[in-house]
Amino acid sequence: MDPTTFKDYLFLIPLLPFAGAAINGILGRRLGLRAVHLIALGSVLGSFVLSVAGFLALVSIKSPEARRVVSVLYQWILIAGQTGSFHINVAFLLDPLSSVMCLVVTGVGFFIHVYSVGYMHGDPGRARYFAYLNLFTFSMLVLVLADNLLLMFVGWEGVGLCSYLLIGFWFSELDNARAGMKAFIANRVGDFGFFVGLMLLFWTLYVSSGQAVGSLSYGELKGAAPLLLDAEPILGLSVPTIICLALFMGATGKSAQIPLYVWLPDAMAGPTPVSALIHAATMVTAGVFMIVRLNFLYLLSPVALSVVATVGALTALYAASIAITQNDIKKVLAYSTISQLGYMFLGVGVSAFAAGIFHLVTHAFFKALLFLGAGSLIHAAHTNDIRKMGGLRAHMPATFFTFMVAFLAIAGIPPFAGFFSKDEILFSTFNAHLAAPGLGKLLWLVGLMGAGLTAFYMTRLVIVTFFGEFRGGESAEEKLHESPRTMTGPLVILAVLSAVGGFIGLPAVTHLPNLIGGFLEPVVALKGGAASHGSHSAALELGLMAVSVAAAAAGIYLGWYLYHKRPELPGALRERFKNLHAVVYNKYYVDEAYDRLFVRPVIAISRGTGRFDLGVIDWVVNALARATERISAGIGWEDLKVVDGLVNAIADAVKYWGYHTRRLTTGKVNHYLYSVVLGLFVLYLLVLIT
Amino acid sequence: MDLVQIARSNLEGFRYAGTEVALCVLIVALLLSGVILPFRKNRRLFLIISMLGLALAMTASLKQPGAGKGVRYFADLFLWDSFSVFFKLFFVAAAAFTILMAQMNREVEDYEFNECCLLVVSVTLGMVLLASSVDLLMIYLAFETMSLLSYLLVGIRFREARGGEAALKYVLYGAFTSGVMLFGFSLVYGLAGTTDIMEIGRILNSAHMAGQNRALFVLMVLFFLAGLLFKTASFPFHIWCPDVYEGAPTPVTAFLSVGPKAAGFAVFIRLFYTLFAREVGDQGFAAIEQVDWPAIVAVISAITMSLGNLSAIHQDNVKRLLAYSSIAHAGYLLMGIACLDKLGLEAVAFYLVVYLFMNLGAFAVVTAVNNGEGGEDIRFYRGLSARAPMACVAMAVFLFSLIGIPPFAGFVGKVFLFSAVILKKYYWLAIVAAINTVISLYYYVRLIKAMFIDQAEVSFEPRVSGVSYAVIGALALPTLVLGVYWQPLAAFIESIF
Amino acid sequence: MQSHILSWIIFFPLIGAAIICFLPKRLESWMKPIALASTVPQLYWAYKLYVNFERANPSFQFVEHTSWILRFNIDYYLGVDGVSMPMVLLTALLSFICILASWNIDKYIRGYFSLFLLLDTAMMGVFCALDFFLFYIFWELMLLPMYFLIGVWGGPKKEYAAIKFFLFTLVGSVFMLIAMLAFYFGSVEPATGLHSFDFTILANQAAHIGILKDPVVRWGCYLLLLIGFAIKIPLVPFHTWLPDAHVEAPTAISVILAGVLLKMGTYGLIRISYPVLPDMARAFAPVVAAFGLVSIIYGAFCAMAQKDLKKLIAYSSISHMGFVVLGMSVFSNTIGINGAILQMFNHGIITAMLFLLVGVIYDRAHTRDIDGFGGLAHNMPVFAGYTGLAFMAGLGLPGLSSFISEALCLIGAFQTYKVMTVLATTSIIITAGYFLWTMQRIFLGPMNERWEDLPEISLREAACLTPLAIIVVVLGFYPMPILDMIGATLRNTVHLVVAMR
Repeated sequence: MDPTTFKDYLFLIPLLPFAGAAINGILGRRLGLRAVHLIALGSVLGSFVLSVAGFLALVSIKSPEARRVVSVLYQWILIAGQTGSFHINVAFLLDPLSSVMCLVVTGVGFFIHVYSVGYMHGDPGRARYFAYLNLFTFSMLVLVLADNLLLMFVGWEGVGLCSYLLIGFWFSELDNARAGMKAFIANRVGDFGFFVGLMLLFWTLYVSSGQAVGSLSYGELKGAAPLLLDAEPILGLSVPTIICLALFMGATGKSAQIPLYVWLPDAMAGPTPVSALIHAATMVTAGVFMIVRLNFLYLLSPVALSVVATVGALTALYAASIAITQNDIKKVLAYSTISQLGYMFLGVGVSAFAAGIFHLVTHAFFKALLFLGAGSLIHAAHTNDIRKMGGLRAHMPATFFTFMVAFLAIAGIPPFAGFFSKDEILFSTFNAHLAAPGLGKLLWLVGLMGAGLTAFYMTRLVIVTFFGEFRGGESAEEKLHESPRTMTGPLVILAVLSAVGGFIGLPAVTHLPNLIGGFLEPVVALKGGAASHGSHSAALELGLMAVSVAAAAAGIYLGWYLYHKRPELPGALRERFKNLHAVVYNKYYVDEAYDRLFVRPVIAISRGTGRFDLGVIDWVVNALARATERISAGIGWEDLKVVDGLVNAIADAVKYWGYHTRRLTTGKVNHYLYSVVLGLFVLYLLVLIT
Repeated sequence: MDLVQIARSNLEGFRYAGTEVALCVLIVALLLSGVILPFRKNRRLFLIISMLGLALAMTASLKQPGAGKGVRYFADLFLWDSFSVFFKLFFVAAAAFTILMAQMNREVEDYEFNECCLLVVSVTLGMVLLASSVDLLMIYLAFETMSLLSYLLVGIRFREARGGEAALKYVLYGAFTSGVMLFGFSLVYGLAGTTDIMEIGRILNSAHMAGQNRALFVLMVLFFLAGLLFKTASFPFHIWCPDVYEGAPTPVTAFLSVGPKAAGFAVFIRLFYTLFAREVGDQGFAAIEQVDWPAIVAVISAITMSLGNLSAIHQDNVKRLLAYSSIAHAGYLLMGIACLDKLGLEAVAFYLVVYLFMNLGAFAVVTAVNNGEGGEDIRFYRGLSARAPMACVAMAVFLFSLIGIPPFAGFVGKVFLFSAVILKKYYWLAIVAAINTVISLYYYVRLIKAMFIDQAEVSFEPRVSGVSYAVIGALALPTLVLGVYWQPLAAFIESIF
Repeated sequence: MQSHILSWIIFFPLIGAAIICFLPKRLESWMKPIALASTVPQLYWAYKLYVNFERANPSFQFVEHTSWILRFNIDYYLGVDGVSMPMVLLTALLSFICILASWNIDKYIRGYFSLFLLLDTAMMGVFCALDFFLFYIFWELMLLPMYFLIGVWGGPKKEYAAIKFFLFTLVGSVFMLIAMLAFYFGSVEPATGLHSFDFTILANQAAHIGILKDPVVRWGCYLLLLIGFAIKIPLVPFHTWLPDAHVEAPTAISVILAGVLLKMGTYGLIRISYPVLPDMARAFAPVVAAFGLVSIIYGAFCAMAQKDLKKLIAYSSISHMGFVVLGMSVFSNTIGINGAILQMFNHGIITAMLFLLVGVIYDRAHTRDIDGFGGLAHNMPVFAGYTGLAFMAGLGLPGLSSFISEALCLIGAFQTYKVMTVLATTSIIITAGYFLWTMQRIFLGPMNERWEDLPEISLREAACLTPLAIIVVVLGFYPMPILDMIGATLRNTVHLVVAMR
């Protein structure tokens, strides 16, 4: 399609799912089931078709630099000031990056919608489910298509909301509801950083440029970004570093990185398709997307990039280690997701932005496939616990084969998708020049170990679930069945994508075009990434490739050995390293630590504040009232007594001094006289004072 | 000047003494009718006579002097000026409402009613004389006429111990303080050698006096203050007030809290602004140098209002509560006097008018509730709104007005007083008064709460007669209207100073 | 040719009140419809104002000007500008909805509805008055009906709550009275040489004379006004009347209290304090911002600690009004103050929703104990949906109205108060915490058998909530209807504050 024509239809990509969500959300319970499905699936399919059209339109533009379609829908916020104005548009930007993201979101999203039809069969809340799912698709599309940071933030929080709603979809279980809340709040902690970064960015540019960069649009930000370098450092850190780290804080929340990853494993409480779509393929990658989108900012701060890379690498290794010990199939996959996201951050941290996005795409394929496969297993075995599965290969062949493809992809076995993307990241890491010398090599090693662990825990998962004997009991075994077409269909398609998806980003050594790298080139800066390949020898590249394949193979072998060949060994090892296992199995007690360090103190503070409010501030108010009353009681009720008492005292004193009082009769009369005298005396005192 | 001339000038004086004459005629009429007619049966007749007489007095007072300093009459003892006319109208109105309230009140027995009317009218005569006299002796005479008769009025129910005790207390206090004041008068006379206050004022304020006789001046001011603060029930001579107000029949209390108090303020202004201050420029006055009496008055004002308000909080007897409230209002009024400018005087006058309506109104409702099985205690007011809604709404209006909340007249009065104070830069006094307003809210609203929110404790049917409603309505209407549109009254008051 | 639309919009409810007052007892069933009917024209006139308002014009429109009290040069002077327009719309809308929400009042119907309409008049008057004296009268006029509405129709501790409200606000009012009179004597109308209460004259620094040229007096006046307004807003530590008043007040009155009355404090600052004493506004700004910050954080923490749903929302109001205060204490840009006014409007709508929702649940369950509920989403899904929307709006979810206003307040404030704004931003975490926690405790989890029979939200209740819900969503995606109105005026205001040396 002609790009200029397409511009007018761009807004439909997010709008279709929104309409679907609105219709299903408001009228869902009155519509029939078919109508609900039709609306939900149709709207996402429509978006997908439009995304493909958009992609084609972009490609049809000859000059890569000109591959930008911006469509301004309307003015969202306009505040005219004395100098410059703050004007944010609702505007969508279709460029290679958002186009890729759109394809992933709507494509994978559509398959997961299809899968959900089968998975949610018979659930009474289907209309609500599909409304949420559509709303999520809408939010995610806003996130990726937004042309400015504030609008992106709308999508950013919108996906968080949908995640919250869908995690707690089965809200009868209080734990599910709690998990949703945990996700939302962990995300909010990140959002705090994001928003602070946004404000600092805006005002630093304002001060530096002398006029408001009022639209916050990427184009404008990119143009003005170099000015940030001139800003006064704050607390010894350069302003771009602070901005990037603050924004990265948002990314750690959304993309489940250390230290804010804790919500993602719990998020598995939601329906499995949701885990596939939101908590594996799309939403959690938003942080990576954001950093790539703002790569021009991050490139200003090597420190920030190094932090991103380090956090990514550590998360990759750390989460992989936890995944080894988990028995809940979805938990294993959740930690695996965290770990893979770590690789993406490692990639963008070493400025291999295209590689990060590449891994994002392949990961979306194979991780969605893994989750959907897991969903299929759960659907059949009615449990999440892999210890109660086993031997499912025979009962569910389609699930098994597709799952195996995904397994090979994530383990990093060539030529499956995961191999190419992960390897590119590791290769870039090895060659990266980070803030500290040697850091790149170190991180490469960490990443390599993570890759080995990944292969290991995936092998464990596959062997325990698909091989051996079924351990779930006889009654359950009878019910085992392959899932319906609506579920296996998407599995097959995703399996194909996981198998061949890697070819869009072939390494330089093959001397074939790196499609995705080339496509993204106009968006990400030329430094690093695919473009840097040429500067290194092919031998190094091939050598590193071999090392990582070897690591993966070693992991697989170890898994095969421990869980297939010598199944008694893992138990013995567990016994042997009981304490270590307990620590890892309990996720290093981080949840407990956070509970002690943050949650409980906050609740304690709130209780304290509540008590302070009643006990101190309100008490002061009431005490003031009481004091007034007391005073009034003193001078009101006792008015006469006090004054009379004083008068009597004077009378007595006067009598005592033996003046001519004897001649006056005692009683009220002279007391009144004295009180008049007293009054005069008081008056005289007043005269003296004034 | 021969006798003829004197006689002619005195006859001439009657042109200006219409109010006084009308009141005298009314007194005679009441006396005669009281002698001729049996007391018990003619309550309504006495009322009609009184109302006619007072209407006559009112009409006679309506004639306004033009601009200028006014006219002296009766051997220059009296002055017919806007100031005196204003207060004459005020006193006659107060008397009329009092008598109406007494008529609807059961505390004043039938056989006492004639006497009551007579005394009220006589006190009014005293007040009217006080308002117009400009001679020290005449002032004292009028002052005592008013005082002595009001003592009698308080003791009208001499069979009741409470009334007798109240009257005695009032008498004794009054006697002492007016004695002290008379001593002050003699000092002034000794210094100036004349009893004409205008003349004295000129002498005391002359350059000749400046820098001299500080002690003497202090004494004079103190002694004057003693008498006046007593009459206005202000600190430190306010102690009699709650007992007397509680002991007297409600209409009498109402009358005392408005009439003699206003008279006190009238003579306060007359004396202090003539003797101890001189006009400076268009709007202001300057106090004599020897004593900074405005500052003293300001301090007294602050203490009086605080004392009155704080003391009122704990009162369960509504009459006592209103007594303390009237002390507090004396404090507010003193703010205006302390200001030493025309706006302050206007504020006092305006506030007095407003106070007349709202305070008498509150007492009128108390009177109505007192009838039948009701009483003065606050428990009789609990849940009253269900049984006498109109009376309670009116009471709420009066009380809110007393607090000084718009859109009621009391608020406008407060605005006047606050303006005067702020114009004079007595910011501390403004703050004190502001805080006092808040404190006063507490006890007034306590009564409102009792009527509208609390559950009934004592169930009795309040018998509010048509006349009562008419009186209450007649008082509530100006309380409302003056809160929204007070331009005519403000213009009138602006013209008298 | 003067239009009298503002007089009509202010005083029409009073006509309704008078009719209700004097309606015979046997026609009691007519009172509610009459009350509703007397707010409908208001809504229509508000709409007409909205349509005819010239957005680019920063000055007062629909002006009515007649002299009233010559002695003090008090005028009957009405007009609206960009700041008052949203408030007028809000008042008209909420008054209408609150009458609808009061349909279940069955005690002293006559009194309730006539007092409510009187309150309506007073509120409208406050937002339209351009003469300080007139403003003050309307301002105080609100107290009386409010006192009775809380005191007579309130909950168990109504007397305490009502008198506390009354005392607190009266403190503010009398302080304001002093400042008002100081303004009067410190100003002179150039044309006549008289002192003036006219806002437009008071805002003209050249018209200041005598005491208003004295910096100490200016300082004192600003402080007095600030205390008065801080009580109304309310800023911590002047806030303790609010939780009590809210908890005891009947639903509709809570809505008015939080939806309209709280806005008067901040409205007063912008209408009076800033234009008349711009130098002091600048001098006090950091202090005011700090109070705003404390209110934001403190209110949020207090809200989290509450067990009574209504009290929780009351404290959340304190927190949200803190954003307004923070946003409007920035003068280096116009973003903050625009955000503040927008937040006033948005908070009015959202908090009205919240209190209406509390009313719905309280009418059914006769308790507001958050921990006593659970699983209500099972049998009241629509109610849960409305509540969810309102809570999300309360926690500032992007895409809903309050996000934009709160974000603007923060962005605006950040330029001047970096540390304070960062601290204020942490409240988005706490706020999310208590709203979600409350959501969870009331609606989620297994069905609580005790509440099994609670009926779903009724049509009347939904009719009250739906317009508000629509506004919340629409303004989230398109806030320009409000921003358009307020922009020009606020630019002027900020200019005025900054321009004075």
